[in-house]
Amino acid sequence: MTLLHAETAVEVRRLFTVWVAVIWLLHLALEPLSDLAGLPPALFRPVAPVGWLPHRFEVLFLEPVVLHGLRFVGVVSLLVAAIRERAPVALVVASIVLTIAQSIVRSLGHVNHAELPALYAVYALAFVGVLERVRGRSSALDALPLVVTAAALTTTYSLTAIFRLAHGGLAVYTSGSMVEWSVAAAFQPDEWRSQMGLLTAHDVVRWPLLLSFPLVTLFELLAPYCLISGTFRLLFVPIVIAFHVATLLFMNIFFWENVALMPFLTAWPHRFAPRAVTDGRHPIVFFDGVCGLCNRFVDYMMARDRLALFRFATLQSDIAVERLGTAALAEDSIALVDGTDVYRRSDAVLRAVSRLGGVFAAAQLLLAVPVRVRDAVYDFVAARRYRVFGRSETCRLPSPEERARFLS
Amino acid sequence: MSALEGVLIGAVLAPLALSPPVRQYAGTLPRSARVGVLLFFSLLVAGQLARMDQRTFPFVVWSMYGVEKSPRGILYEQYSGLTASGALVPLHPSSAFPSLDQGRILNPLRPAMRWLPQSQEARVHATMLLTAVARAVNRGRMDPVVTVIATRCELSADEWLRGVPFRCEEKLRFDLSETAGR
Repeated sequence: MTLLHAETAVEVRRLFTVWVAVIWLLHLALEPLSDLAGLPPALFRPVAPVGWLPHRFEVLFLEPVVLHGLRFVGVVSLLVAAIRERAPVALVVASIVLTIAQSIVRSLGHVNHAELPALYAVYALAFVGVLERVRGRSSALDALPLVVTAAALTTTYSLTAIFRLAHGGLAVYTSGSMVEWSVAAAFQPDEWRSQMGLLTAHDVVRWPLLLSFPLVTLFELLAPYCLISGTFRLLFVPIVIAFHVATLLFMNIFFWENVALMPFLTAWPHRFAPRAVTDGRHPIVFFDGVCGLCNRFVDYMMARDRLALFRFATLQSDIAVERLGTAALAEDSIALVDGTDVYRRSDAVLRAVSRLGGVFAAAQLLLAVPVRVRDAVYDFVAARRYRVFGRSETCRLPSPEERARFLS
Repeated sequence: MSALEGVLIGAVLAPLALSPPVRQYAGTLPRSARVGVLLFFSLLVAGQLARMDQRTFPFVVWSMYGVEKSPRGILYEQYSGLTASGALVPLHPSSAFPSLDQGRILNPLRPAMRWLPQSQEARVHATMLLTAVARAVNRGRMDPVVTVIATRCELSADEWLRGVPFRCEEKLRFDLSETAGR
């Protein structure tokens, strides 16, 4: 047995940071906050921590300028956290702003749970960010945000099941509660609502629902064991996703943030960790050595190529002529040689970037765009590369640190 | 808090926390990280057992579909508005306040509807919230809502399965002009 995420590459942690930031950016897009300005102040009773303030201060959070400000700071801090390699301050600010926002949207007395595991994920990222600032980096800390989020997410399922067993007992399963919840949800006064709850009138729908409820409870109860059992994870994740889809269709409740975090209850994100070269056959990035843009691209790649996966050479070098032919410089500004495969233009850029792993693996998705479209964009930029980004008289000379990774 | 709940939480979480993979990983963490993680999970469990969502948020009680539904059976509310031209339009509180979806406005309205029309406090509460909803709806309307109507319907699950129609009762009706300035 091994602990899920115990070996987490920094690139996968970065992917997780971006993933969580995107969940919250989507959330802030769906929940404008500014609509709260229309609430009656007399009924506005935010939960903690805003609720710890005297009421005269609480109601300041109904001011449009404060609501717009919260949303703006939330969006900016999440964007910074998503874009920068390390952004502990932005993550701490995001934690504070999102906690306040979640506190004030629960100001009418109903404390729902939908966003909380995603909020805990931000706390975990901020906590580790601050810890690293104080104590320095370590691979164990790279794993911590993913481990804590997976543990927190699964613990919330377990606590729910335990509450149901301890307080609801058998009656929750044997009474008509499931039918009542489903039918009442079908009549919920919402603009969009699923009417599938009405199907519980039919035995063929009602009985599978009733029978699956104790099964789901069992999986919820044991959810934290996803952390140490791959077999259990394999069963848990699809069952719980099906459960969330069923609650959307039959109860009109959807914890989409939980579903969005489900990939991190599996080992799937680790597929995006970069793989070190073990056979000595490093992919080679050939670039135009006098082009300002190409040199910046190489700097960008080298800074993020933690495992020194790539070797670099200029298109003006002898090795470029040997590997790509004499016309290489006329045809390319970037080329990639990976084993026996040669990639040019947009193929070269996207494949090279995607091999950096983590969030950069998403570049592979762009390979689905027709090559003519991609290459048209590439050619447009390449044709203007000297004019916009400058051109040097001589080829780039590698610094002493870079020399081992340069072939010419 | 119930003793059974505490025992079950311990029975599920303790073996995991003490399992070799978790202990091995915890051993690689600096002490401050271990303290932070322990504090976080203690708050998560404390929030569950304390039953004080309002004060312990974001550490709250996880209790979805945890207790049998009320013996009154299937209950739902409908909110509608009469416009200046006399048209009847549905009012959707969660659409008027998108930040208050997931029951964050509908659920607080429900208890108020239960005690109407007898309770003055419930009337004030429901009137204030529905006024806010109607005003939000009116922002985009040429033909504004002038009167708000709230109806509550109920039926037992057995009756519903037998095809008995819902019993609906108008619980509240007020003109927006009555609530001007609130």
